[in-house]
Amino acid sequence: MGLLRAGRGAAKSGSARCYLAVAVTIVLLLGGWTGGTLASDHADPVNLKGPETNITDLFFFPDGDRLILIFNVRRALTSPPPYDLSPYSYEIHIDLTTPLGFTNASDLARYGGTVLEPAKLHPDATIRIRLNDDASLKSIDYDSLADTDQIRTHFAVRDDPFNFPRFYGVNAITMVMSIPRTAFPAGQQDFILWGTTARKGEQIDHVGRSIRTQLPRFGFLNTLQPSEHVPALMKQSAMRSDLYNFLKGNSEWWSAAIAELVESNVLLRSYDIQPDVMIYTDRRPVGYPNGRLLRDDVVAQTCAFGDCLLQEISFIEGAFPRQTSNDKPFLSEFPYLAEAWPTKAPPAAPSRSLTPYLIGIAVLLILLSWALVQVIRWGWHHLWLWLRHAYFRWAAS
Amino acid sequence: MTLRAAVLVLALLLPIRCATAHDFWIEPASYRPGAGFALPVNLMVGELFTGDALPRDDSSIRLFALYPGLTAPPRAVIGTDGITPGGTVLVDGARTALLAFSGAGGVTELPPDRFTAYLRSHGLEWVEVEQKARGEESETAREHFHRHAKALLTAAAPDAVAGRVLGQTLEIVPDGDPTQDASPSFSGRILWRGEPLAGCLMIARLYSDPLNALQSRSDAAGRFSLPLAQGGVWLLQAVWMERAGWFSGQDWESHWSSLTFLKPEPR
Repeated sequence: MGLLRAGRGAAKSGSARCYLAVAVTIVLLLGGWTGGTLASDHADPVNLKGPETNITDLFFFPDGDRLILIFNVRRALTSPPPYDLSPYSYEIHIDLTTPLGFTNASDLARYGGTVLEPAKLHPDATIRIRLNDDASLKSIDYDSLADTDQIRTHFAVRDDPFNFPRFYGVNAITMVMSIPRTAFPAGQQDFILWGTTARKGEQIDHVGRSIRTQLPRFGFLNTLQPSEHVPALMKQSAMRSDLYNFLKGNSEWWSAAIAELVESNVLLRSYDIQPDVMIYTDRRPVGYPNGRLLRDDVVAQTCAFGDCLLQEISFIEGAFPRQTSNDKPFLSEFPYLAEAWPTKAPPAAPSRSLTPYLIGIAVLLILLSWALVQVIRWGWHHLWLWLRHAYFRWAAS
Repeated sequence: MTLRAAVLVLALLLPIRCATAHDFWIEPASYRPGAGFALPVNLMVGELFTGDALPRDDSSIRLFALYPGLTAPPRAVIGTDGITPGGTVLVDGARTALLAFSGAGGVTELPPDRFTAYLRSHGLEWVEVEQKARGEESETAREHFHRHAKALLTAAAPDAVAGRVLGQTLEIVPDGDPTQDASPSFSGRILWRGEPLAGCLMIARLYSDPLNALQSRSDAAGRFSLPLAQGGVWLLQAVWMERAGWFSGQDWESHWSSLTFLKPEPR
């Protein structure tokens, strides 16, 4: 708002502000696209720090009198072990008490419900997993769950269940848990879940509802607790709305064009200001976004309610017609996920580097700067000599 | 057909709708938001407590903020220009909070009969008298209107912020915290430029029964009371006018003020 007011009130400073707005826009867009292209929850930029911290999926659905929880990391896995898993802690948090609402149609369609008091989100139960470097279980701790001896688990490399062309024919490191209902308080109908990866207590990645933190405009949520999400989203929303309002309010056509770019890529939308958690309730039919089934085509479902980035990429990278189910059938029983694809050499990394060009440009800029200074220096020196000579001639005459 | 749908149809059919449809109020997505909730806030325009959400127009906003406490600094209601809702604000749900808006409305021209009907419906008969004194009773009235609105958000505990005077040109100030008051009445003050306003018509409508309006005139101290016997979302509204300035292109400057809140069911 302040930016907007200033822009209107001070015409002379308008240009400077406009350049600043354009610079901020470019930074935001670059930041966003970096997140998008590197990413996740199949694609978060954390894969720069270590692909084994990169969460790929969280599934939650009932099967008979049990609840099935699947938590996957390490996208596009094709190589055999060993992996770099032992430094990390993989955690699933379950909030059983923060109230949920199921009357807002928009929230139901996008999030499976409404978290009525986001500031109170907290884990009532937590599952902490450490893995060996071959993806087998090193340790598992259950915090505040009952009947843990009846929890069935499976930890292995298996097919990546995400229905997305880029991840066909590749694996993920998977953690599957079949939890008896009796592990939770009697009559528990509503569940709020989220998963995290951490190293030495520092949170690196986060997953709640599928296809949320992997969207470029949400990358900043990955290192925050869910109770902190709404304030952080509001802060970002205020900044981005100010930028958009300022750009949109200028008379120049290119300012309006940048505003449109900001609107579709950077601006937080009115329905975005929700904590990134997965909601599951027995009150409604299971299936994304009410929990998530393995067969859910979450890319298409998310697109149907406003976020189509991955849908477009699935058309760009995939065949026509777009495939709506995983490339390998799931199992009907535990551990549900398909067998792993055979290991293969990962695609060769690009060998070309921009570094020599960047160094060359930097050297060229330095040389040009030096040459410019020398030319100016030479010019001033000769101008001074000419003036002095002219003065003496005038004085002598 | 529900009562509200019937009201909407009625409002659409009213011949003077175009002329007078600038009732304006704040309609939050919830009047009882929880802790840490990002509350969408709509700016509504319409009639009989039935209307449409206005897209945000930053250029018209003078004040759009949440007051979380009597002395707490206000928080801006943020939003995107040209898009509904008018804004979003973070609430804590611990104590009653006050939403407030003030902004430019627009200009309108009304033929004499419609202007007279509008004046009478909002208790502005004295404007009619002044028009006659000026010999303008048969002329098209040119009006510049301004909007002021408040909404109270119910929380776990009451707060004196409900009665906070914000300095709006026309301002409805309730006594106490009506979001926590289950008695079958409502009392408050109406202020014009910060001073008590006498003779102002207060109109109250219940969201679930908007056709049956309650009315009350403010006394010399600007005080009024209304028998709000039912619980539910209430809209209180008032309009006041002054003659437009000598350099203005309009005849009248009107200020529209409203207060919306959720009243608990009477005990």
